[in-house]
Amino acid sequence: MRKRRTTVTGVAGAFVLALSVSACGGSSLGGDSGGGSANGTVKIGELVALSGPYAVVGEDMKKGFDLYLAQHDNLLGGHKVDLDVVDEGSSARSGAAGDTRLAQQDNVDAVVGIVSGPTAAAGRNIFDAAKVPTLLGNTGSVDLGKNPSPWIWRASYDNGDPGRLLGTAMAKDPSAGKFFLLGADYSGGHETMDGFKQTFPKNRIAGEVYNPPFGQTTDYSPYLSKIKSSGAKNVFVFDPGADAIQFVKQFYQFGLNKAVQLYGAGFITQGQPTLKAQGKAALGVKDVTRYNWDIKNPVNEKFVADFQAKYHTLPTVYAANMYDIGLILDKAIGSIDGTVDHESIKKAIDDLGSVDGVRGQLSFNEDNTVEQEFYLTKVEDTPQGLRNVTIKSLGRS
Amino acid sequence: MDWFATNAVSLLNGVAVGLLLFMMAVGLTVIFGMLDILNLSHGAFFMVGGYLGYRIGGEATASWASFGLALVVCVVVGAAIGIALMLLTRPLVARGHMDQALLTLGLALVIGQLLLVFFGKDDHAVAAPGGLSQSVTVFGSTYPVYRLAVIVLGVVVAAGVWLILERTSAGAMVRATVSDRAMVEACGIDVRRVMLVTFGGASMLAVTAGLLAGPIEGASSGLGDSTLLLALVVIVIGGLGSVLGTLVGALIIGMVQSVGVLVAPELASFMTFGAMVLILALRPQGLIPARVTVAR
Repeated sequence: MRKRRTTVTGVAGAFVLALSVSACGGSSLGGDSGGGSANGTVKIGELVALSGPYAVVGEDMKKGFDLYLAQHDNLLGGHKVDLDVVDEGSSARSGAAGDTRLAQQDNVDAVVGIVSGPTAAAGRNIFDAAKVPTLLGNTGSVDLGKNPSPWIWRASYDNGDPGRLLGTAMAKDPSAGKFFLLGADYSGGHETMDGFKQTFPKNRIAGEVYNPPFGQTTDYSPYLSKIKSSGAKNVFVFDPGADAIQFVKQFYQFGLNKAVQLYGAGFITQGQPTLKAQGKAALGVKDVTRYNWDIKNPVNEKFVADFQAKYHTLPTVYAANMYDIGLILDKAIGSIDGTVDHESIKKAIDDLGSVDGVRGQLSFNEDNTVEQEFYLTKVEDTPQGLRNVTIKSLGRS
Repeated sequence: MDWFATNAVSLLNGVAVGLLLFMMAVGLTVIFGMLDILNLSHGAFFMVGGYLGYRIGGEATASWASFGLALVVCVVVGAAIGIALMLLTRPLVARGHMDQALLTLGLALVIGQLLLVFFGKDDHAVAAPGGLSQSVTVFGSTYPVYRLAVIVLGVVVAAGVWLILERTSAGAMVRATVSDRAMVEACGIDVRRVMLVTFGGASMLAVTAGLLAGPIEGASSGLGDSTLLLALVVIVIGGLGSVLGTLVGALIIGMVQSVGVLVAPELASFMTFGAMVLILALRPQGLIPARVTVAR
């Protein structure tokens, strides 16, 4: 009996250990620190996930920023760039460690990147207090719009944007029928669905369910039966990463694709590896996104061509967003007359006006959130394989 | 009648998910029950199977030949990992579960990172072989054939493991080896071979389960942690080290996850652990604890 007790205690201890695995990380890859920006150089801190489940997104973001620097001789606004890359890891704790390091220790002139909402939320007061200009390249955390900092710009989007714009478009079309809402059960999922509910009539929402996030849901069949029995003709889904792959596959395997149109909130079919994993199950899936490779503008055409030449794949929204941040910083720093420091970079971004990025025309509103066009895409079988193809604009955010 | 159709499929799915969970947990329960080693790298072993399924079996489509080849590779790799685990844990045999937990947790981190280095950081799917990737109509609803195959496979694996461990002299030999090594050696049994086969077999089960779960779970970097956690829940509910208990625990969790979401979707995040707390409060030793307790 005594043996049995110690065994149970051991397993309980194991639980704690297993759960704490995700709290590790947050190491710098930058090497040297301190010093401050020497004359002629500008030190940029790049905080992106390079380990753990978010590394897929983080690596792509890094590729987008790297490409911009490579195209421009490693110069931003005429200053040589000293890039300090820090791993965000996969937890709020490792992300906050990265925030603190860049804001307080590494003496960077500006920060770019950040994959996840919790890292950005933790960074809100850290970057604000240290007065470090920070451009967010992925998370659309709503809190940062409600409680904006003059030092932080959401160059990404607002989590409510995709839902609001899709809701507006679908509300005008009564023949589209009812919508079912399914989101991952964390801030990102809730904020996305809240956006949709703001612009779409309540009586046409057939149901709303949130599933355990971050890979905890691998079997979607109970959710699929709920969607089916609700009688909805459409479903709007926010389930990013590996979850998106399994959801789209099971949506197809359980035959829902025959009766229900699937709409994603920007991540459901994002990137060639995801489409390859989903295979024919992805055909016909629609997605609301702020960027697609086939957007027609000269900046994007050059970006896509150079990206394909360098990385042999189509760019994702993650890479595109960071490329745009490179462009914004380039313009802002280039407009500075005098010393480049936190104050002058902030003022330059504030005075920037509108910029032509790969996502089209970009400008910041009074809450420091980017205003941009959104697009509806659809997965089609092209001669080059499965691709997201833009079918129409959903208007500006 | 429509209501029945929807729910009949949910019950069927509860069984499929339960047996999938059983396959996820059985390798852990064998290493724990037979060898008394708490293997926290179990989730990482499982993940190895998933990635091998993606690379060798196929991502969007798989043939019987490629999936079969992946199975063979999983068996070989699983056996090799098992032997490595035996060599690593040997110095810790007398030092209790916490030291084993720390060692195997470290091993899990190393394997997880090696997988990212070898297979890249993208998330992947694993295709079901041949006709198993199709869907059929069951109770008036479309249902993937592979999940029906998982039910059959799960029953076969459960019966096989239970028979070997509880009803053959080989199983008794392993338990005796853990209990009193010197006495077993004195009986003329090659102890090293017994340990080798058990470690290899149990790890093989873990890696192979990752492959067989692949068409439902895919292959991604977060899979190891979530698998380990679910497997621990299942074996704690079922009773530590008991194959039958693991089967019952897995079926209960599968049913809770499958039917629970339909009844109270807002509680989905808590349901699995809620069920564990409830069962442990009523039966702290688990539902069907192993009859033979190892004593040193």
